[in-house]
Amino acid sequence: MHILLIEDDKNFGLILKNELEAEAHRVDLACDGVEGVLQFIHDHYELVLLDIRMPRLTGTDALRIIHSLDPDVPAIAFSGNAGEREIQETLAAGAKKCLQKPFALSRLKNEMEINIQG
Amino acid sequence: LKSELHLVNGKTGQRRQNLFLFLVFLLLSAGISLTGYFYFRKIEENQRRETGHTLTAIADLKVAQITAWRRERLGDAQVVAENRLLREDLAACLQGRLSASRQDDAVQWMRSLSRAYGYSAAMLFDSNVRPAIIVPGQPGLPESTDIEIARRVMRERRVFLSDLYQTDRAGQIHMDLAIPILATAPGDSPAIGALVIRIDPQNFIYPLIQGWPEPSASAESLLVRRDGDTVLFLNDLRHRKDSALRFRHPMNQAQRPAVQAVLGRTGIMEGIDYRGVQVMAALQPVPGTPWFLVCKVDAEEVFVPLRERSFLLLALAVVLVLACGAGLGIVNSRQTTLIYRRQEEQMAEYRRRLEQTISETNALLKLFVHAASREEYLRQSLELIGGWVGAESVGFRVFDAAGQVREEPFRGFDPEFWRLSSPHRGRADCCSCLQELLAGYKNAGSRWLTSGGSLRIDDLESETARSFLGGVPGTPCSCREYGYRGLAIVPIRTQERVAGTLHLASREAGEPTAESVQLLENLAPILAEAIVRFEIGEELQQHRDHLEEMIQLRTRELATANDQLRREIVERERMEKELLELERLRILADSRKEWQETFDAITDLISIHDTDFVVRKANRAFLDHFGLSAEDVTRHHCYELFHEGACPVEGCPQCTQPAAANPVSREVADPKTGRVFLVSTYPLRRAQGEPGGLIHIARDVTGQKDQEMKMILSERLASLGQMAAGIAHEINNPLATIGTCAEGLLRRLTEGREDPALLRDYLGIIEEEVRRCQTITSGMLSFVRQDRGNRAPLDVHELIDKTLALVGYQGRLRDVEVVRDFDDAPLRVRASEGGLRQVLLTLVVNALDAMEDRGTLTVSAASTDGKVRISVRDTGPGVAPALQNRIFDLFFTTKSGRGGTGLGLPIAHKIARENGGEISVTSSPGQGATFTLILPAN
Repeated sequence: MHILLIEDDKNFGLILKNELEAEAHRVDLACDGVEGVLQFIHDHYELVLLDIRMPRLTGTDALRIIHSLDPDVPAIAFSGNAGEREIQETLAAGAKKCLQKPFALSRLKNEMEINIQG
Repeated sequence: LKSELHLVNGKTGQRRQNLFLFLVFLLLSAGISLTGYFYFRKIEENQRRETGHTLTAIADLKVAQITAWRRERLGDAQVVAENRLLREDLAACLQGRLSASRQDDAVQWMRSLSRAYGYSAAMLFDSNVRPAIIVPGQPGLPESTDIEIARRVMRERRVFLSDLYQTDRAGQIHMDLAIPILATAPGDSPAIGALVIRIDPQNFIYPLIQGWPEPSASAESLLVRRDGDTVLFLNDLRHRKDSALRFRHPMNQAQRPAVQAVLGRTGIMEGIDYRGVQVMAALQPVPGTPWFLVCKVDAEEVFVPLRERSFLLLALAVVLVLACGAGLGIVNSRQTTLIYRRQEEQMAEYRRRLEQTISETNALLKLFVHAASREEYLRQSLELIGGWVGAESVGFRVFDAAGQVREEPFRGFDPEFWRLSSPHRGRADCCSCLQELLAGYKNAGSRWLTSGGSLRIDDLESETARSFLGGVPGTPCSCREYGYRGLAIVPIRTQERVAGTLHLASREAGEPTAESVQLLENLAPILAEAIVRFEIGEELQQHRDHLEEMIQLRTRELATANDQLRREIVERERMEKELLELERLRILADSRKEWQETFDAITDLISIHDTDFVVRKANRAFLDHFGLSAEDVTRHHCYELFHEGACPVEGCPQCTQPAAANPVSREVADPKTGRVFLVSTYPLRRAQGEPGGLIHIARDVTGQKDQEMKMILSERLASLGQMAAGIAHEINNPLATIGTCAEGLLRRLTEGREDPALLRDYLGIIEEEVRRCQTITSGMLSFVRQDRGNRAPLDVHELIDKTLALVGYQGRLRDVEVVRDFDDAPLRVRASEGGLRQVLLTLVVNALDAMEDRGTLTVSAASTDGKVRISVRDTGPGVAPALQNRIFDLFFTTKSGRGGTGLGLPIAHKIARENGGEISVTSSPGQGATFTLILPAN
């Protein structure tokens, strides 16, 4: 599966990319919202994983733009410190699920399976 | 002489004359007025008669005209009725026996008849009263009235002229000339038809009635007839529109000329017409008709010329009456002069006669007056009676100083007699008996009384006189003793009393004669009048004297009262001064007491020290605090009491402050008790400006300090609370990384795919993330850590960085551009670290709040003039000028509902001041705000 991972926390981005690639996924890592949107325009993805709170362009806004380009691409968001309002907005922007950091990798995989199949 | 006596009194004569002249004036005035009135009535009557003649003439003329016109109409009709040729043709026509051309001739004839006379229509009816021919062929003809008239003329078989009537339809007024068409010659032959001719009265009879032969504003003629109980007006009235055959009067209004005319009255009458206006009218019946003619004109119009004349007459009468009055006035003044002249002559004659009588009869005249100042009065009376004392003898004394009568003015009088009656001897002793008899009007014996009310005894030596005098009580008659034989006493009567008596005594019996007595009686009223006048003058003088006396008395009393008053005023002023002094002392005592009470009521320890630290005075709180009495306290130095030391403690304001300088306040911690005092000192100056010690006020602020400390801590905890959520979330990021690393490693381990290189990388990352967490938590802890405000040297740059980091942990700086504008050289201040950290955090957080975590945050730090300036600038909306003074107030916040407590800035301000610094703000709306903290450099 071709996955776009948008995450501003450098360490977490790297580890997650590494772990997902270990599961035989192709993962492109973008380090903020702007870069993520540019990457999405540039390539085709089957799944978008993205952090909600990011500098320059928040995950919510980035997702809105991505869905305006391709309404069918599934997305899963996560955040360490997002408020309830931000989460609701993100779900409204089209995220299938919002996960609270820290979360187990297995949980993410589980969600991915549910949402991609559905 | 007698006849002339009447004129003696000028006043009576004058009065009579006035009355007479007034009566003459009244008679003349009345005569003039009456003449004028009757003349006016005569003119008015003439005018009335003349108008009557005119009206009658006009009425006669009009009636004659109407009668003539009627006669003419009837004559013409009669000719038609009796014309045999015409009758036969018309009969043939009515019976339908006429050829068409002849029929046309009949129509033609009727048409020419109408046209020639100006009739409005002609109608031919057959024996059944059906219309045969009608010219002109107007629609609506004949009307029921025409048919009625046709029926009537066929019944009566004679020509007649109908009354005026209103047609059924148009409401127009007409009268009809009715002509019967008889079968044969007039006689008993029946009518086989009728010719009815309509006449419009507007063309004939109305102009006759309404015309007036001379110009007039109100004159008019009325044609009326009786209609039941009313009078019907047949023509249009001059002053009322559309009245013909519509307007009517009830018959009971007898004052209306129209009513009188209908009742059969003829000739002239005056009455009130239909408008309620006074009119003159001529009434005439119109023969051969039920009509009456009234020619009338307004009375006002008739009498207008009279009014002018009446004004003229009135003016003439007034002028005549005035002239009369003026003439009579002149006569009056002439007569008055004459009366006075005659009076004067009369008086002269009197004097002459009196003198003559006295000298001829050798008589004595004496005068008794019942008045106060006899001497003066006598002088005046003598002048009046005898004319002896002229103008040159004003001030002449009748009696000399010795009481002797002066001979000079009394020629012909017996000096002996005068002497005896002299008022200088007290009461006159002559004939007092008679005098009293007369004065009291007791029965003096009717035989001795004259008709003028005087007493006259012709012979005192006669038997009757002697017996009479013997019976009178009182002093014996002195006249007889002096050899006088005849005596007359004339009373001088005023209105109220007998004011005096005139005595005439004669040596001859039979004298004084009755005539002489009458002479005196005539003099008596004049004297009485003089006495009254004199007495009034006397009385006035007495009143005046009395008044004068009263005034003097009053003046003296007033002077005494004034003295008394002045003394009282002086006394009162003295007493008031004493009272004032007492009051002043009382107020002084009160204010001292009040001051002491105020002083004692204050719970601060207040004491007054001299320059040597000795306590001079202290309040109750001070004494209670140290358990001393007011006397004992003055034996102590202040430092002994406050610090139990032998010398002033370090930092005491009294030591550091020059004695004459300004007030100083400082917090002093007492090392022994551990209490904190806010000590304020105020220098005392003596009157000469020398230092005189100071006032020392110590307030125990230990509790207050604790309270403040708690408040600062609570604010700090509140900030922390707000921070905690952000920071906790911030820690989630490293935790997520660590968790994922651990999960990945564990999985690989389980699956037996250990990769040492990956393991090392992962562990490195875990360590890094753990350190990140640690930095966050230690930053938080250092912020919360409570210090007791102990100051220490601090690195400003480091402190700012730590503060920014703490904020950064909350993720609040992600969208904020942070500019650090620091001096190169390290900056150090001496302050409490916790406090300063709190101040910086407050300023940074406020800036971020203002910018809503977006924009540029500039933190600068610089050192100038021994001071360190730390500025925090944001790019938010700024602070409105009106709020700049309030943002340091406790509990003032613009962020209520968003976590604002109103504590941040006030506490920051307080901490800055405690560390010897201050915080200020500069801002303009829309340009952001800059908060500057200034601290003394270390």
